[in-house]
Amino acid sequence: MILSAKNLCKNFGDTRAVKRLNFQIVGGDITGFVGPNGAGKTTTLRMMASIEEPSSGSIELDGHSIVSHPEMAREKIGFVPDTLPTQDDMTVFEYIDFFARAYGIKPAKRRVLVNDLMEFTNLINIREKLLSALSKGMKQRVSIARALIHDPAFILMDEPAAGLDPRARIELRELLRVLSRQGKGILISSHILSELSEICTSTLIIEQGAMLKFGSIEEITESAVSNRRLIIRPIENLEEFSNFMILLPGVENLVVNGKCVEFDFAGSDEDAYGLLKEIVAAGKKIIEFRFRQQNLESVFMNITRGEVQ
Amino acid sequence: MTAIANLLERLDGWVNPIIVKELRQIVRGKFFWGVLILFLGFQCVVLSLSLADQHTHYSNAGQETLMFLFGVLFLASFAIIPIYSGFRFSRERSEGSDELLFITTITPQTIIRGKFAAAFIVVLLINSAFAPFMSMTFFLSGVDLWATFIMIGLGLMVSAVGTMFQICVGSLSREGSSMYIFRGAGLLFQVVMFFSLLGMSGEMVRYGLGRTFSSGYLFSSLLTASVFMAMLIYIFYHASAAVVAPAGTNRMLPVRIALTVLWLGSLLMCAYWGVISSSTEIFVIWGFLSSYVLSTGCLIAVSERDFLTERVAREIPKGFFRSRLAFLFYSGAAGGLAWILVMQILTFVIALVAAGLQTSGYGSSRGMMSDYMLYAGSFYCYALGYSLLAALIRRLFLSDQIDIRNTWVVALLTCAVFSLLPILAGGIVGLDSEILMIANPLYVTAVRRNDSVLVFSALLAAISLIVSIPWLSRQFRDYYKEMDS
Repeated sequence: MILSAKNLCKNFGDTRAVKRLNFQIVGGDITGFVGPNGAGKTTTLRMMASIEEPSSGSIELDGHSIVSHPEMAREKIGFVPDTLPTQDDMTVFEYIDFFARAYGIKPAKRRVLVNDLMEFTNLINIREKLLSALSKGMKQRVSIARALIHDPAFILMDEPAAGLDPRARIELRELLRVLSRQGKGILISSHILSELSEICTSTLIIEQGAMLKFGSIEEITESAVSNRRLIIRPIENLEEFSNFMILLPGVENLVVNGKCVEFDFAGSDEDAYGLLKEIVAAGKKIIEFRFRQQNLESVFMNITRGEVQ
Repeated sequence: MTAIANLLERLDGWVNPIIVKELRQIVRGKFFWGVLILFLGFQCVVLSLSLADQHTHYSNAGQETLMFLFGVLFLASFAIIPIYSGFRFSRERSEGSDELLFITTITPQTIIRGKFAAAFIVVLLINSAFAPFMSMTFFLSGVDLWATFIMIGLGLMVSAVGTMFQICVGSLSREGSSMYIFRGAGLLFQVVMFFSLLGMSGEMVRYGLGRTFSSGYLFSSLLTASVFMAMLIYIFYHASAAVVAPAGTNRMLPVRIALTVLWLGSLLMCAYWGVISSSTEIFVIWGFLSSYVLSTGCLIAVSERDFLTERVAREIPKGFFRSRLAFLFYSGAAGGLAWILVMQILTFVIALVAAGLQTSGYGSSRGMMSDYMLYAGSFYCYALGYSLLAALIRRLFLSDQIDIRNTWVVALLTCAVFSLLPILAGGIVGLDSEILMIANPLYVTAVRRNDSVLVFSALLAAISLIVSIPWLSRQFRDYYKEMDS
């Protein structure tokens, strides 16, 4: 099953909140949705959940528009908003049971489903607790349980990890992995990029409503930087080694960093191998030769400017 | 599984989820129990004092006790519970928790029905708890049992209308200052209505039913009142559902159908009373009222979307006649204004025919028609003129600041500015003339048969209409393009 956005746009008056977004989520994938505050992430997620209507463009579920047929989205998409459940005078069971009823699930099936879901999301021991008595992490679990009650094929999550303690974040991560293994497609927006890069199979980066990058984490990190940074650690005199290195072709912006030298290297992997051979042939003794690892955080910082509309 | 368990299972699957949720929340809350215990205590004390005091004082102690008990019951069931329900709904709307319901398979209509039913069940519970105390007044002197029953029945119906009205107000009260304005206005209206209805019920208890309703027409009057209240519930229900419906849906279709049914139903009621009273004057009054309501609708029409959404477009029916008729009923500013125009013309024609049938009295043709034209006609022109002008002002200067759904606010402000500015300008240059108030739609009530009002309002409407032609025709074209595709 594929959920795709095609030329998706949303205007609020003269403000263009989302500009021609094109991406797709496949069942089983976890797609990270990244962008500075005000980039249009929440608006996009709300459009995909059929809460907001796009100004133009389309959102399709297996080729069928959910803009003109939102009932399709309601059956196949679960949405976890950035706000926690506010019905403080309801118990966990009542809250989930209410949404099961709202989805029209028959009584016999509903009872089993609600119980199973509470077990799955680790809520069974607090089923009779009022929502007002729950921690943020537990409320987030309740919110996720609500979004899963109708067994959707896709789950859209808006900042689900915001404000959670480390344990709750790890538990959330595990839950997402389990859901992904069940074949559910997940689109998750978050500012905690290190965690996203751990669980996501692909990433969508937007700024000022426009898409900057979309693809697998590897593709994005590789394509985001034109010059890779090489790190070499010699065991001999560092100054002499850096003087030697600076004269070699393809080496730019060389700096000494601790016991290593670091520099931009524009060449290919083959060129890097040639460089290594040249260093060794020159009789230089080195114990480390590696490219600096690009991560989602550095890519994000490189390609976004933090501007809002 | 036993038959009863089977039945309960079916019932559980059939019951509106909102009712279950609301009742769970209400019964768990302190508010409901507080109101119930406080008012039951009140009733207990009042009844005890009345029973202890009955031999020494009044011959109509029962009436006074019943009036007091009814006042307490009515305060709970007409004022407190409906206002509480409206406030709860408004809070849910402002928190955005209702949005999550729209991504389930539940419909806006189901939500409103559930809210209403849950609140009405609470009203019924309170009535049931109070009934034994009220029936005790029968043992005191001066109580008409039938009047008591009818009063309680009417009280329940009025409470139902009040509940639906407050839910409608709650659905409107969503964000910002408008939330407080709507909440405040709804609260004020309910309190004023409470005291008015309390006065009326007092009269019913004191003087019997015959004097309250025209003697000889008790059944017809009660039936008319019941039908009228049912129609109010019907229209408030559809209005609330339209307000909470997600963006882009064809939300005005059920509202316009409901209003057309209401218009037709009230016309039939007029026909019934016209036959009973052998007079067509009632059609004149109906025409006036209908025209005023329809004119006010201009403010709502210009606050609708001015473009066709995908969800509305896909609902355009096939067939020459149906697709064209749908334009009047479907969501859209131009369609709304066209529907109002058609309904105004129909209302006018019916009132005109009725006036022609009446040969004597107020409803006789000439007097009636000139009054109709002056009051209802000028009000429609003012409403149309200011609404279109506001839509133009919003489009040209305020499109970034004010959403189209708030155009009605711009219309009211435009009307206020146009009404006050000439008077202020006149004051500065030392000019003191009645004509300076001509831009005020209420000016017509101060000057009887003043044609200048009609001329000015018609000019205002015509100019606004001319400058709005590109905007309106664009909407017509878009609709017809979509219809043909």
